[in-house]
Amino acid sequence: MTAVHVHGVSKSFGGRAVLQGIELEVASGTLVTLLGPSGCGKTTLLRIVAGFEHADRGAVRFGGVDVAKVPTWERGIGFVFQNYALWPHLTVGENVAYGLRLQKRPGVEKAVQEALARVGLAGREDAQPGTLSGGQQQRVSLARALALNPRVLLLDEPLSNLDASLRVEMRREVRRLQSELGFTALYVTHDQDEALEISDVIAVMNRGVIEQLGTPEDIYFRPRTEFVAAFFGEVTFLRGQVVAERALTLSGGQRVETTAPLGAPGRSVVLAVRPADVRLGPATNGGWVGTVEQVFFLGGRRLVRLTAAGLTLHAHHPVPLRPGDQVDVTIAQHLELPPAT
Amino acid sequence: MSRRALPLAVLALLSLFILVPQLRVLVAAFTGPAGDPSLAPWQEFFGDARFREALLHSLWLALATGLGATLVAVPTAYLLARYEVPGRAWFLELATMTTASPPFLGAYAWVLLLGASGVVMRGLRAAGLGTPFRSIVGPGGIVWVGVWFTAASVVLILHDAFRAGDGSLEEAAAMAGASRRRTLTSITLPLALPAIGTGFYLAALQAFADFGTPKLIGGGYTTLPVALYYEFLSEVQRRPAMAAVACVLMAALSAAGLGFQRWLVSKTYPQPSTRQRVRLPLGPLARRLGVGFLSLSAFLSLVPHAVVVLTSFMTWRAGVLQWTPTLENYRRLWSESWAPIGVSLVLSGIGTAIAVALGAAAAYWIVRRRTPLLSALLNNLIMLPSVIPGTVLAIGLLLTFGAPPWALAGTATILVVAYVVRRLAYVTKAVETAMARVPVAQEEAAWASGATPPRAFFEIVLPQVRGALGAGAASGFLQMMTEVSATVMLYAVPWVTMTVVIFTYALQPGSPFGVASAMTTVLLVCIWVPLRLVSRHTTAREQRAP
Ligand SMILES: Nc1ncnc2c1ncn2[C@@H]1O[C@H](COP(=O)(O)OP(=O)(O)O)[C@@H](O)[C@H]1O
Ligand SMILES: [Mg+2]
Repeated sequence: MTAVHVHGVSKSFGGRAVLQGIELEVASGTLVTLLGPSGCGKTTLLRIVAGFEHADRGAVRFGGVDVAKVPTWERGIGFVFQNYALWPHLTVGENVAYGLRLQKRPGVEKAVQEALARVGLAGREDAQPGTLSGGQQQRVSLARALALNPRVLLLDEPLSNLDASLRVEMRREVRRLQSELGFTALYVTHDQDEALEISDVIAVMNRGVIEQLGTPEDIYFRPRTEFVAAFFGEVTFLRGQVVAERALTLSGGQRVETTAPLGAPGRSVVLAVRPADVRLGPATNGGWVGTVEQVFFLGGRRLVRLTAAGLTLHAHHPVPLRPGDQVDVTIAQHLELPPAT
Repeated sequence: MSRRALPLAVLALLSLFILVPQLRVLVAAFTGPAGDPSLAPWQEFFGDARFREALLHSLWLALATGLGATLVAVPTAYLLARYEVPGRAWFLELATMTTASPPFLGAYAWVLLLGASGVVMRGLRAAGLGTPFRSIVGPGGIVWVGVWFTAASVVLILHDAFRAGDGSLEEAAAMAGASRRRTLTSITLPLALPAIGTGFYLAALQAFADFGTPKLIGGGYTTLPVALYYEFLSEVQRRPAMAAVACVLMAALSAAGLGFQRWLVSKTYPQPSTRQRVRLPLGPLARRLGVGFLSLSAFLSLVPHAVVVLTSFMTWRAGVLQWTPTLENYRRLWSESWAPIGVSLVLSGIGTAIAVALGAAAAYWIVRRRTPLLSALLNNLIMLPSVIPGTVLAIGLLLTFGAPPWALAGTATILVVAYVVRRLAYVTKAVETAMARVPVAQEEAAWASGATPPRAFFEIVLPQVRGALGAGAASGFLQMMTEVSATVMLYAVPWVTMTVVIFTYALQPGSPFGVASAMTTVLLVCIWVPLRLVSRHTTAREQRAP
């Protein structure tokens, strides 16, 4: 069942189009992520769903009902902000209880205890929000939103203010909570790893449009545009014509061998090549030779940047190389982008 | 109801009481005797030597007072801000207290001391010593009183400016080989220049717009507000058009001053501020000189307060002070003149309540800018009276609402309106700063939790600005309690305030000065109590801040 349906939503600020004809369905009990670079309109879309902003065109439907006339406070949503937005003059318990009290539900105290326990903050009711760490504050914010059993939980870069290791821990926790409680969520992030890890569905956004909508595997292995492919790491695009089962000629004339088959010769193709797909070997005669530009030590592996036939490529490589070294480049795997329409 | 209905209603209300009266004055200044549009009032104004003189006098007083206050305040503030001076906190506290004096207090007290038959003058003559001058009454006296009345506020402004930054700019200059004096003149003072300009502007504006001081100590020295008062209230030959011209001139000159101050402030450089500025130690001699200088300034600022409190407990016979302690003044005050105390408290209390309610709402609409045009209009409207002298404001209100159908002249309503209009800007600005610190997201989080916007405002936003609201209320209240220039134009029996009583007594030789002093003392207590509460609150908040 569709919990939230965004239909043809457009929005401009001061004459500048920020969202253009957005179509998005969030199925009940799933976590959908809006992924895209800063400024692409993710927050604006989320705020329109929340009712903080209003669409210029299009509709937002909750359970099939248009909510254009329903103000935020009657939409039954939960919202988690990047800066937590806890109320500093209330205790942690009062923060979580606030919305429950407004609903005049019985058993507020017990609900608050449960909500805090769920996020690992049992017994912290009386703490002042300001005395908690960033991660704890965001947990409170999550508990506050979830305590209300929202029809949809909206999260705007909830982990961006946390440091790297905590971010990883927290996104696993969000995912765990989501699987356990089965709530519906629309999650905004610019972090591709975060999106891959926690989403049921990812919507990759670029300049106010959704470039691609799909499962994390879809998005990662079957990107439909260069933008989507480029969003996940240092990708090189090889444009050329297939000349053999496993070879193509780049537009510059260089012949490149691939390990995976390319299909019928004569086709024009665009291949996306990720660092893990590139193998480097000792330079031999006749291969595709590249020159090492820079080597980045990443701990478990090294990332090598090289130039070959005027292109910049990135490759993972286990052993040290030095700038200026000549290497043989093989494309062990590749993604083929569908022809541009 | 649209979410704009309430702000629009407030905007309309404020326009009625702020904008309309001032437009009314403006129109009157350009209306000829036959009711036609005309420049005749201006020709008449500048053709009249008395008015030309009053204008020049006011300008001269403003510049002299501004200069004097700045000269006193710059070294005072510099010492307090940059050096370890014994009693520093205490001096600052005194300065804060002094800023809350009734504007006529200084004139009243200095005349008691140094008037032709003042206590000190009599003492000097009785001791067979000559007096250095016959009387403090005159333009010199106005400036003297004005300087000590305004210096404290200027000190507080400059103190903040000299505290700004962490001193790294000065350290850099010293490391580059600049001498201390060179650092002072080429780094410190230029950086503080916008604040110095602001202080000068505030002192000059106060002197320019002040009605009470020149009236009490001027000895017939006409200034614009005084000329205006007579022109407008004279029973014989009332020429509202003249008064209107004077009003427009005063408002225009004040606004020009404000423009200059704003321009200066726009030249403010942000200073690096990564840590608290450290106060430097003083050598033994410098330390003594510094404390001496600070004590002298504090003493001169506080003479008026000491004089009224002291003389309120002394016997007066036929307007002459006898050195016999007594409680008679307070007994008479209680039996004859308690009503003005009640009137002042009630009118200022109501005025404060209205100003706080309007100020909190207006600050919210201005800060949130959900409808930018509305916010801008509201902001400008509320700020407008801060460049309009009290006398001018009162004349606008009288011209607009004095006659039927409003017939508000002499009512409590018009006094409260004047108080609210004059002080709304201060309350609003105080709350605005605090409100701007409450992130919008906190409100949105409340909406998402099911709170309607009014509920979110009262339960999420207001509790977080309670301190600023209290500070705004307290300072609004004490300014209303001490208001003179508009009150004397607007009041009528039975709405006689404490300030009116004191002022009237002070003007007449042979008045019961003891009772006037007792009433002033009561007034000082009424304003120091809220002031204490505010400064305690502010200190507590600063200590809590990281
Ligand atoms: N209230 C607003 N007024 C004007 N422009 C806005 C407003 N909100 C967002 N924008 C602009 O819309 C664009 C998209 O913003 P946003 O939705 O915040 O992007 P994202 O969350 O993807 O970083 C940005 O260029 C931003 O400057
Ligand atoms: Mg954003």
